[in-house]
Amino acid sequence: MHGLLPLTDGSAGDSAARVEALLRARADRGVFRAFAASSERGRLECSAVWLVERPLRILFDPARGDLEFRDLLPNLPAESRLYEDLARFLRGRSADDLPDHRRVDPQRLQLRERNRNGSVSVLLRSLDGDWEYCVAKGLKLVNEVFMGFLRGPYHRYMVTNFAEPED
Amino acid sequence: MASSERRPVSRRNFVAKGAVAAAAAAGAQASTTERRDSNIKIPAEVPASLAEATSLADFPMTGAQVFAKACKAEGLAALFCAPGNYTVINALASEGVPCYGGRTEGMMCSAADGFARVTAEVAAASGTEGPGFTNMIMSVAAANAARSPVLVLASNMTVALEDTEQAIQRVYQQPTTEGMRKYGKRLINPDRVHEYAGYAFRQLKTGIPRPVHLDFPGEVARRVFESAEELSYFYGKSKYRTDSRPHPSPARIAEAARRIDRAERPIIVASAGVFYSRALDALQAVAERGDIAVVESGPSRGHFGDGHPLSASTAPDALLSADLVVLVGQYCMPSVGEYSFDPDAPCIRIDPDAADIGRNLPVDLGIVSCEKAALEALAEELPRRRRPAWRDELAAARAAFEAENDEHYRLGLQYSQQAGCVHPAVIAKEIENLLFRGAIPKDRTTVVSGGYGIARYVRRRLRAYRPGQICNGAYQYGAIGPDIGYTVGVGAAVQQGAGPQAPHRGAPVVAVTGDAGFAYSAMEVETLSKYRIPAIIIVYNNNAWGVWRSGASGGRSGTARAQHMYLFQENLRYEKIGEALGARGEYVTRAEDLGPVLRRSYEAAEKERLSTVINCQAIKEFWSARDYPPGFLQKVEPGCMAYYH
Repeated sequence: MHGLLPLTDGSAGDSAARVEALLRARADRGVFRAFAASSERGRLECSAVWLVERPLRILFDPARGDLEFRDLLPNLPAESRLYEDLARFLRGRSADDLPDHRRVDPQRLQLRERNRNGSVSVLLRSLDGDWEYCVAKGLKLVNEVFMGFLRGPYHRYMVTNFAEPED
Repeated sequence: MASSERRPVSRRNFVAKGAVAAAAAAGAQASTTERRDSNIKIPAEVPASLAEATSLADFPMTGAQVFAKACKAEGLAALFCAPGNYTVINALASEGVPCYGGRTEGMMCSAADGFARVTAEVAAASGTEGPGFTNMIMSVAAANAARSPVLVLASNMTVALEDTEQAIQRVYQQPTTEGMRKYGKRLINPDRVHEYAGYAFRQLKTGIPRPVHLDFPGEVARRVFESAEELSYFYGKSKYRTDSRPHPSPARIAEAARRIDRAERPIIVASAGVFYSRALDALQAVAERGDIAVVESGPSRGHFGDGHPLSASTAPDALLSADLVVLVGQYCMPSVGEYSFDPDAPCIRIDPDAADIGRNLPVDLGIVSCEKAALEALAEELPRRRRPAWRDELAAARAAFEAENDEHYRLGLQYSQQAGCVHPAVIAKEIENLLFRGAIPKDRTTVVSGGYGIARYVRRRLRAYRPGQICNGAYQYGAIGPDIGYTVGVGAAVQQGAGPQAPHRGAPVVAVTGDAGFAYSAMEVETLSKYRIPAIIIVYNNNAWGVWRSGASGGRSGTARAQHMYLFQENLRYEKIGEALGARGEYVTRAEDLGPVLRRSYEAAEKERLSTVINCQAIKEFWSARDYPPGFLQKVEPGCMAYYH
């Protein structure tokens, strides 16, 4: 486990402001249909409506360098096959044979998932303080979870949890 | 086993045979049924009527004849109808518009839609006032969602008796189609009948196509005009509409070219507007000049051949790699989260309608233009560039997709053995083998891709090598029932050699549907047979609505008490419906029988112009990812799996 990262981008407050600006830029481009941000004790918390109707919670802890997509996937028991597949999929995002534009560089970002009572969050810890890389890769990753991974044999999961049309 | 029975079908023996067959079905192997019912025959009047010379009307003419002449002058490519609106359909037939009479107005409207989708030509549908018209509504809505140039015609009693309930079949038609058409008009002024034909074709042939609905009261259709002076605005199409198209701003094209040149992995989404503006050559020129990937979307496929090394239609994983997206003629717009692109990929949109650019998807550069004009300009402006890494990635993604399909097939064979029936992955593979991997030229056969769950397997294997090769049945509106209606229209287009179907004139067509969908339009097998339009219709029979799991316990809202509403009787013999309507019937319960059945059905279609209904027996549980993984398949859009947009 890495310790606290050496921030190369100025203070924690600067880092949070930078991450917020990077996310807000996506809202301004129309990637997010709605976006709100607030901060408390230096931690940034954002809510974005993006790929599904359920708002995406994005938390940033500048002290740890953690960008977290909190409770990204609900109702996913730790012992389920889907969760197992998801963990494998996330690990595969750092595979050497992926092209750079699809790969999460493990030298720069530590990627992990967390399952609390069936609610799965995805965390990216920046190892070099490059927040632009961190935010861009984080969003690509979430996009690939919904647009790629969950387009596998998980139709019922999407219908049941994200109101995807039955038809 | 072939049956040599030769006796007329009565309802009693038809039902009795069906019951026996259903009971025996579980153990049955492939069964072929010859057209044993010698009493089924095409009346001599049909070919005689079709061989009749056209009879061009001249003054004195009825309003219907005036309208029909305008339609003929505009090149109306086909009329599909059920009787009613008599003066108009008879006049259209006399003028030489190719006409087809089917079994329901709704399916004839879907036939017109299917015809338009694979030809880019205007086709008409007609029905009688009241019930005939309202029968068309689902099909009008589907054509509207697909942006099809369908001319919807209906009679509508008389203006004189408006607001009464005298006699029958009175309804205000125009409010009914509001929201599902581009233009509509109840014609009330007889001397403006030609003028309103102009209104209709101005809408049908310019901008973004959608249905136009005209209803004809008797005063208009039956009014007799002694001479041209009695008609207002009676002049030719060059005066009431223009073929001029909006051209793009040179500055915007230059900006688009700069952005494309800067991108490493650009992709074009080629949709309906590319097909309707006949921009296929320009699209290819742009793609090849800049090594730009092309992925298709829309109600038909084949604007950019799947065999091209820059095609991304069967490379779903590559979509997420694109770093610039150029949407061209994407009339039915996806929202954020529906197309599988990188959220940071900028978007250029080329569309003839400025008011639509920016709807649903944010746009970084909008270009208002006819698609063809914009692509031609872009081909001139774009620097030549090679992108070998992008080509390699596309090829790898296509190979990965094929490997996934092959794995589905491997599992499908295994499941077919286990369950004693035919898994959808096997059906998809056998269709691919027939159409694209055998003696039949790959671009020969036009396909109606319909059904629900079966479509998610079959679409992955269908390929389009030329424009209009695939009619995407359920596109956008999600109507899975009209598949045989579409087949009539698509088959008619191929028989006529209309538009891009010309080189394949006379070829058989293939249709895929499900048991639920077949029920909505099965009677149109009779229309196919009557006109000797040869179709191979594959019915995926899983004994249930495809959404049966929605009623099952454990579903989002399912309960044990709801389940019965989603199920049919098991082992129903849909091929016998085909037989009873003048087609051949085949029943397939083993994976290894399907290939030979498909081949002999294609042969009967080619050599004898006979249609076949192939009933592929499956089980509903194949949609369970737990019991038969991968079960019901998800999809990725755009590309070969797309049908929402």
